[in-house]
Amino acid sequence: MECIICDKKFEKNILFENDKIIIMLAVEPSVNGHIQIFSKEHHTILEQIPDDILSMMISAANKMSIILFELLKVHGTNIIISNGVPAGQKIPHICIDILPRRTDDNLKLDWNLKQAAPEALDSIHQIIEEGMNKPEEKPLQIAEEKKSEKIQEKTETKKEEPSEVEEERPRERKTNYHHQMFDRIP
Amino acid sequence: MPEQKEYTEEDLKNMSSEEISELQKQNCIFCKIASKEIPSKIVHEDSDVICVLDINPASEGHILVFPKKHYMIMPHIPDDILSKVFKDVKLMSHTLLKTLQCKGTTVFVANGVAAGQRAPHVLIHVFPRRENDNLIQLPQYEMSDEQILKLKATLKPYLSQVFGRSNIKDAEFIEKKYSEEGKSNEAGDIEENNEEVKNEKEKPSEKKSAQKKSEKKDDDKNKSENSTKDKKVDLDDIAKLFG
Repeated sequence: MECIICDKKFEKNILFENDKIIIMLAVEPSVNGHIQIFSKEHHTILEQIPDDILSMMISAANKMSIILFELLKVHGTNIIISNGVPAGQKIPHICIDILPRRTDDNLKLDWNLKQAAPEALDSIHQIIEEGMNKPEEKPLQIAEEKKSEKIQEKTETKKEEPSEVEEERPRERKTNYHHQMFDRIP
Repeated sequence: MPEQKEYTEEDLKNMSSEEISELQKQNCIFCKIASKEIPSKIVHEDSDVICVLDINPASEGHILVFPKKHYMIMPHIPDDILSKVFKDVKLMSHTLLKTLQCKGTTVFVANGVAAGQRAPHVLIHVFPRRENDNLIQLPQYEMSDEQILKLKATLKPYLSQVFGRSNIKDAEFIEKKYSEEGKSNEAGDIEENNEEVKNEKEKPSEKKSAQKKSEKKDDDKNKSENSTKDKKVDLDDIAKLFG
């Protein structure tokens, strides 16, 4: 898969790199001093980043925040992860954006404070709780493991069918939202 | 915070930053939500982190993830707690994607009033995004090579101090190419040997930042050049804005 980050199209922007993370000046910054932190490994969306790498990235984001406070004398920082095209993700390689903020920078990243109706909150709460407790919709990796186990079981019993099964499985998985996201990202 | 209005502005001015942070801790709505003094719609909870529905949602399904312990801004959170917080952020984002049929989520943190922070307790916002919802959109502009070079010269020496040695070598040569064209101070300092480059580059930038400081801050507080001390002062300054 072509990726401007993995292909190092913007090498001149890179500030720091080790075998896990890349810290660089944003390719198309929103403010002066806009930093982006990428994982070295290619991950398109937030849910795909392993926990250990995510915590390295976020810890780096914290440290970058402090560096920006100190060196650029900014009054605040925004740390933003735009996850998916509707969220404004522009590069199909997930990153953490760090925006240095000044009180007079005229950047509006707020939303209108509008109190939600208690009933609306109740119903959303219920939907989310039910969704979280659904056993079959476990994270992608676990689901995949289970599928491969099933395939293995079948290969033991019948020898000719498994190839068909293996071909069909990926197509089924397309309905998974991870794959919908892949399709959507240009 | 409505509770804080009991104190006059005079009182607050006379308080030390520790007293103020103690006061904020006592009156913090989110600490009370974490201890369940104030009821909330809890989505997920573990020993250090709690995830609740925001009552002022940016979009339907807006979740707040925050550490139960009181931290003012994100750089205050120690790494072990931070990794737990973001593990839950990932889980919440995943949950929103699968339960609300949205195609994206935004994770948003504001450090400091200038960044739009409203409560003196660090909050990580996770909310679902849909096409054309007119929520957070980052503007974009092109950066000139000169700007890139200037920023890099300011930031890079500190980065190597904080994060250790970088893997990039090629980038150094690119940088060299640019700095030869320009007339920046760094040009003379860059040599073939990477380590020497780093060691030498740290010095001029320290001088630079020291100069900046003396220019900008002519007040009584002449900050020492010790960077760790500066860190604390600056963080507290950010936190103090909530008076």
